[in-house]
Amino acid sequence: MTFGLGILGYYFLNQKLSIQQWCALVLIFFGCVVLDFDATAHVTISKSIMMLFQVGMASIASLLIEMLLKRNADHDINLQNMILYAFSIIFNVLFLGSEVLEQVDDTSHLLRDVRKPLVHVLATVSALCGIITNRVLKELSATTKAFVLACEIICTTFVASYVFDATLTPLFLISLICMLFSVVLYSYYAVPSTVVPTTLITITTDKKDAHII
Amino acid sequence: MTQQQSSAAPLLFGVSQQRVVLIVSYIATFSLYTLIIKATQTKTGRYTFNFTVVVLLTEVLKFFFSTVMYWATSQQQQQQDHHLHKAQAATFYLLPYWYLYSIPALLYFVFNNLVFINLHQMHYEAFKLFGNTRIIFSGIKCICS
Repeated sequence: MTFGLGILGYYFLNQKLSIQQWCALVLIFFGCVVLDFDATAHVTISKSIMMLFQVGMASIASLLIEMLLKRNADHDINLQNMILYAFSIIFNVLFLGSEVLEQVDDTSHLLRDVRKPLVHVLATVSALCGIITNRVLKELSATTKAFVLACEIICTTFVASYVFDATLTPLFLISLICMLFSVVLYSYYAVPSTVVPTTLITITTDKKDAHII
Repeated sequence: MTQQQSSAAPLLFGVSQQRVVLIVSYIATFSLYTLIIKATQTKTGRYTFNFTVVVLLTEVLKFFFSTVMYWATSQQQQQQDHHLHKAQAATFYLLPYWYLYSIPALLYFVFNNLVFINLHQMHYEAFKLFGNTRIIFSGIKCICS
């Protein structure tokens, strides 16, 4: 993990970034290193790579979407979202189909899962995340967004530690503070066109304010 | 400054009531989503359902929502111009490089499923902290663009 970030850091050294963005990257690097040393967090190299892979996937996807949205700026954003979601549905169906064929899961189990209220709740909350994030990106200023992101990190961490009865070690708290400041710094001084990528692509009627989240 | 902004009464540090609701909803939904996922795991860390079904249903919901939004926008425009209806209907066929949307869709498919896998493997707090490494990718994007 640390080595991977080191390589990325090398690339950053040859490029121009604002002081604030540099500070944010150094802080997040330091935060990751500290988290690596925290034995209670059980962070191994393979897990770190998986996490970086996951975040990288969303980042590349958001970049591609942004390019496509710019290219098709004259077309309705909702239509573009429809096509994107249609492809996502196809990929998920194909994956589930392959699981059935390989006998990892069977159709009756899948149909039973579809009817589970918990699955419906998760899907609804996930879809809501996208819609709300779109409004946040569209309506809030950079300062407020930085504040909101920081609040989200703090709230989630402390609620999780309470719910799952996890102990927050000093190393973990240092890592949390580093990442917190990093997110605030980066969001506050981010280039206006930069969109913080997360899980979903949202729907907006305004083409100029199309956001990928 | 929009009309909406000026009409809403400031509540906290000059932030309108509407925005406070938005901020709270944002924090609540994002925290809730991953918290529910983690809470649904059994003692051995397994899920009692196939998580791809959740991802699939999410995409179906979003598809439905964007379809409704598209229909509503079309209706609005149609009222403004009756002749526009045919042009709107033809938009889908005229959308260039529509097949290219399959690439980000594939990446998001992998990402959405990986959320469940990584939450199964990692501690919740560490997962959330690692999620912030997106800043690194955002930085690369800034530099490259």
